[in-house]
Amino acid sequence: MKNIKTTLIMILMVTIIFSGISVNAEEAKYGGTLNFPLAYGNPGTLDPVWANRIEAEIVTSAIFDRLVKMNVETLSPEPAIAKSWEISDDGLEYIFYLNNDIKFHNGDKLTAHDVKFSYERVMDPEVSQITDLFNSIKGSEKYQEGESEHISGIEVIDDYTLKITLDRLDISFLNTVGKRGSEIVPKDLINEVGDEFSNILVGSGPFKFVEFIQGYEIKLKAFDDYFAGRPYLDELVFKIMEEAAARVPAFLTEQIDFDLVFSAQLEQYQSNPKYEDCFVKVPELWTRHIAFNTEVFDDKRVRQAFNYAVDKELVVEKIVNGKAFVATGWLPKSSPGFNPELEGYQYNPEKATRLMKEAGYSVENPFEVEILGTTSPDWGIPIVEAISPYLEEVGFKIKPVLMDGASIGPLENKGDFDATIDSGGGRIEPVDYLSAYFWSEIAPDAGRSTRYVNHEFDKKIEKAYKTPDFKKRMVLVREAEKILVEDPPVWFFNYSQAIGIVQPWVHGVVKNPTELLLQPYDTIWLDESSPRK
Amino acid sequence: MSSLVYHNIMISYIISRLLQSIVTLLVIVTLLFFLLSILPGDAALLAGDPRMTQDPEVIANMRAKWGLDRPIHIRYLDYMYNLFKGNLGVSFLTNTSVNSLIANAFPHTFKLVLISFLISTTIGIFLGFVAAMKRGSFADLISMFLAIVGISAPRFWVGLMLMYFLSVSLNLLPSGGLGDGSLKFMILPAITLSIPLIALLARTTRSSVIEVTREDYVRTARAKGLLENAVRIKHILRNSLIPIITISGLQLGGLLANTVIVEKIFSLPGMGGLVVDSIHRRDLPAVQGCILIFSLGFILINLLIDLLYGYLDPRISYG
Repeated sequence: MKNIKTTLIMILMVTIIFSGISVNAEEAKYGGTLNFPLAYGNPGTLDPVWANRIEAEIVTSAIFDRLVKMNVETLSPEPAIAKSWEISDDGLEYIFYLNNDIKFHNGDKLTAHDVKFSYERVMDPEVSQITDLFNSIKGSEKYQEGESEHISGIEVIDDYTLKITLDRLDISFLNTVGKRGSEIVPKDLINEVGDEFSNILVGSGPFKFVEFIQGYEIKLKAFDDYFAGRPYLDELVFKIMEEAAARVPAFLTEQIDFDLVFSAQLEQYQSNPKYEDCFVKVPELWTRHIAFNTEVFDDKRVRQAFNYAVDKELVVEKIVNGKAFVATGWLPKSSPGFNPELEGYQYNPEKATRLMKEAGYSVENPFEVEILGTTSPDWGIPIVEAISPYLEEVGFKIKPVLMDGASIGPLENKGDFDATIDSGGGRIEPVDYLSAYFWSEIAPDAGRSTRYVNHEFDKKIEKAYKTPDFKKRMVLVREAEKILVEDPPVWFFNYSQAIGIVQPWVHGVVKNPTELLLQPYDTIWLDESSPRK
Repeated sequence: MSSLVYHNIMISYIISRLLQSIVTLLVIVTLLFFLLSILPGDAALLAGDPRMTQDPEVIANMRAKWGLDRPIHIRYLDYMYNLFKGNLGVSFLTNTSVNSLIANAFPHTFKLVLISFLISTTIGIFLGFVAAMKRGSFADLISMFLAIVGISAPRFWVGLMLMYFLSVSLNLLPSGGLGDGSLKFMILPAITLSIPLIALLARTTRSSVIEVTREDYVRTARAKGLLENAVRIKHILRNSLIPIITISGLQLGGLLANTVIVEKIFSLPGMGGLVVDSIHRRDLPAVQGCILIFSLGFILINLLIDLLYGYLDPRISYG
């Protein structure tokens, strides 16, 4: 009897404790408006076939859905429009099973026909700006050349089953159907309204398009029939504000609910005790670097010396205000391919001087180099100016050249430069992250502006592209990266860290390493203390 | 000269000025077209994320779609042909007509410039006039000191300081945006835009008024026994207005140009923001359209000023 009593008391206590916890964890609430800044500027147009920049993707992700979406923690695809999928053993056939209860904002049902239409639309050179998105789907080339009316590799099996056949192994295919450009648009509506679609923007995402005032704001409102459940917010307003100095007062006066903090603004926010617990920090998928034109930097020792010459720890701490991690190689901390054992280049001016000497350069007879860059405080000319003294000490002569971003691209493509300071990466698949800039198959005007050629590296990349098994592929990725570090095409500077600041009443903001401004807007909610509720 | 003859002279003057303006505009458009085409950078490259690599085929496709692959003289003739039809082309960045972009942006800028101009002329001329009348006094000293500060302080800094002081600390005014479109959202941007012009006008007015005060006709007017206020308003102020109007007119153009900074820091969707975005993205049709409108504004303002001269000083003829 006593035992039973004790057990009952225990059960009661446990119940009380757990109910206490569930009371503490606040329940998500509906309602309110979220004012979210577009810190990269005006997206211009939001039609998915034109939305090839992050500015647009931030907004289109709220209006449209894709077959899959990325889990921001594992960086692997999870169900969205497709509730499940199967991949054939050779990795060439994908069968997607779609949710059968998805509606577009105009009430039309979303079916496999819409998916096929959307993918063909984005590959159509007549209407699209992103015509390389689905290059690996069988028949896409014939379609683009006008030889066939449809892409043969996309087959509608029934209304909710879609089969996609590739003509070569594409290890990033699932990433592709989850990223910008692959949004699903309503076939019947577009056939009816044509180009006018860019002004009405009907998708199946959690928010409906209301209004776009160019250069100012984009207004969306909740879609009640969203298949995954109505979003918590009533309204989502994107404020176009690329001026960081102007976002700070807007945040402090509570006009915006979030801010992407640049290193120059970090201290201002950090010095405000009110916001102590309001920071979101995430290592990003970007590698800041100085790319060498290897036709100018043709001596490996010079490139190595450049890497040994600079005390990166100090530069990151003092100039970047600690908003980054010192780079040991090319793949950043947040990449699934990151190699924590890689040592990279430690600060070693003696070794740098020796290597320069071996290559025939010294302080008296320096290696002269022009470094192009923008005004970006994190990866622009201010960094070049900060590291110049280190480099000049070991036998470089640095001339920083300030340019606007738009002018640098064409010079890089033509090879008319010595070096540029830049930020690269942005891809989830580690092989893509490595190959895009350094694989000799990539043309110099398609991203390999370094003109880097290393056949050992190429072999690893080519093998990795033919390896569907993730673990085996990562072994090759590590080997490739080691080769890259030993024969460096760039100065490995840092892996950036994105820092956001969130008003205390906003809940549900996630740490997205691909882009902190890309948030799951449907699960973000506001508590009562929001001024817009 | 009978008023009818004067009227006719005026009209033919205005017509000839307008014709000249068209020539000026044509020269500007042409120069701009060729200058922009030699500007480094490529709209097609910038359509995608500049940090990502891009397929050259895609870039070529876009260039073809925008007609950038055609020879420059063909593009120029095409542009001029459309321009004469009143069509400014299609923006690369937004895929909408430049006409509609400008039609949406212009009213915001016009409102901002107009308010700033009214603020600057009223306050600037008043301060300058008071300073001149009380030359050497403490008020004179203070207003001229403030004028120097006002001219020297960069607008960007002034705007941010006003924002921190009046909206972040005191919470009196909104820090930016259009809000509900009410006037209070225009106050900070308008003041930011006005301050240098207030300062400049105060200084100009002061020196111009001082100069006129020394003229014989002012002494005569006073000797006639006219009331002091009549002397000040009718004789002194009116005769000092010519340089003031010249400066105001020239600076009105400057105000238009400075909206670029002010609209950016106060997040307003006007012409200034539009032209900056367009230049960054090498959106050539939009840049051309905006600059054409800016030039047109400048030319019209100058014409207006020339006409005002004649009204203020009958000795100036348009023959």
